Amino acid sequence: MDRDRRKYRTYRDKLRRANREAAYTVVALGVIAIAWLLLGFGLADSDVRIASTPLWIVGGTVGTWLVAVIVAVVLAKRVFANFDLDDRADGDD
Amino acid sequence: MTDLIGLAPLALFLVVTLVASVIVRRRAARAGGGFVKDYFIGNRALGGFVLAMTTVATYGSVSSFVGGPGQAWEIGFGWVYMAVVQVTALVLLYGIMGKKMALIARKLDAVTVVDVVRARYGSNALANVSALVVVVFFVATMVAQFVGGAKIFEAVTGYPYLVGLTLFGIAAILFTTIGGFRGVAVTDALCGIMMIIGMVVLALGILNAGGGYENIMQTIQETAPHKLEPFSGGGMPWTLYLTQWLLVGVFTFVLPQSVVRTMGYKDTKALHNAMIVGTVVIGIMMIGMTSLGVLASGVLTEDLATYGGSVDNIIPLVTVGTLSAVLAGLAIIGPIAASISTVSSLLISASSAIVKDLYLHWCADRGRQPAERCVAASSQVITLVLGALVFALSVVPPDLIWKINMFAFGGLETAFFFVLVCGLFWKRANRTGALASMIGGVAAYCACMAAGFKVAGMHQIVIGIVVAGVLMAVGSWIGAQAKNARMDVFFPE
Repeated sequence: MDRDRRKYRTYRDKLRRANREAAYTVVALGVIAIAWLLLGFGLADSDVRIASTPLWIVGGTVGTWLVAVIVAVVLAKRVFANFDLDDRADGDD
Repeated sequence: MTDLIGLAPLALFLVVTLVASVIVRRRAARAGGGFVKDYFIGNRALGGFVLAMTTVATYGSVSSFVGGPGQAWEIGFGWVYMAVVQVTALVLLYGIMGKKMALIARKLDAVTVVDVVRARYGSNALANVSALVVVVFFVATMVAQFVGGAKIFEAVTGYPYLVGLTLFGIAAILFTTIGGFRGVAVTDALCGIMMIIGMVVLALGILNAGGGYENIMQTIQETAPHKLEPFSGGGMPWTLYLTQWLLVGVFTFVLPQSVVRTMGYKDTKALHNAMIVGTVVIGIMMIGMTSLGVLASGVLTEDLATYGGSVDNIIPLVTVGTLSAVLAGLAIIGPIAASISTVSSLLISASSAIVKDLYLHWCADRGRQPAERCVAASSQVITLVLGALVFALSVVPPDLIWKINMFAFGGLETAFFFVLVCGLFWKRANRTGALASMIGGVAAYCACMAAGFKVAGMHQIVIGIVVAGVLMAVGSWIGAQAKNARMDVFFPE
């Protein structure tokens, strides 16, 4: 975290980082959308049932949600950087 | 159930939220930091949990608790599968807008989304149109929330519609007027918690009345097997899936009432935590409530005509039919909290559009600096008057209320999608493109809604967004950047 704060000190660097994180988020949306398709429509022909519930329902709803939670955790803990949102530490402002 | 015991949980909840609102306001006043920044953006002090809950509670409206589950009762698990696309809402909002809006808002000392739009494009005309769009569509949405909440109150408690409207309408208006943005955020968090508790209570009632989960699923298999298919025997066409992905999934991250929350959190850690907590909670809420709608098929097994011919009656009926008076009183706090939290968030945003974006800017243009006491009083009076207006419009409930709600949702997305996205990420975008996009897109959307015109059966938001996108591109190509556009803040060299 401290490394991130040292790395993104100026306003410009922070905005660039925010742009990159926005792009990663669009990729994450793609991952969730593909999971939604595969776990729902992709399993629609399966005869497997869990507690009398067709597999596509479990996969398409709870499965998609779990994928979204995993994506949120990966983005928040591994991809996104921590830095000061105020300008106090900026050298170029 | 016209019995006072049934009202006790709701009354207690309203008192607690009102007290919380007063405490938050007093603490904020003691902390200082300027009235406008505190009242409209909470001094940018929201932590991760409150940020997540206020966003989810603002996003999850009374439709999520009544109309949506009612549709799920009629259509089946295809509706739940469609509703789950809403789990992308917070990831997109915080991931795309979160940090950039927070950095820019701090740099500009911006308090509202319109402040940011004005600075980016250097256009007062665009800012005024944005404020007008916000107020008009927010008022429409607030009326829908009040009416929806009061109707479920009437159906479940047996008390007249006006009693419910007065009870929680006045409470919502009061704690928004008193608490400001931070008060709204805290009461939203309380509402979010109560929404989940209400849902759990209703789930227990339905499962108990239906003889358990597996029994209900077997009943559905025998009586309505199409409810277990993704296309629901034609009830869920692919065009509906596609447009719902756009309307309640992909485009929601530009809704001004959500975007303003990315200007009010305290640090990046809070944003990261909110993304995780919010995605967990929104999934529980959206999958949970719509699934309960389908599971209600195991309890309400007749056709729709038997239940009054409207899917909006399903959740009230199943609540009354499966729970005791006290538990039903607890369960209806869910939809009423959803209604209150959405109204309070929209009310504070609409009020900021009038006070901050129109009045204070008008004063600044004329070199006037109103006294802080005057700003404080006028902000609270405007909030109160707007709330009273919405209350008055809700007294005689208009027809097609759920359609008005979705209409407003689509209108806001059409108006702000390209204006915000291009404003933040496309240097070439300018005021000509932004004005054309907002006015042209909204006009095309409203005209198609009024005429009932659709392309390939898809919701009119598709037309609105395409028109808005084309006009943004053409306008930005033809026009030039305004001299007072703050490009140094948005795209520093």
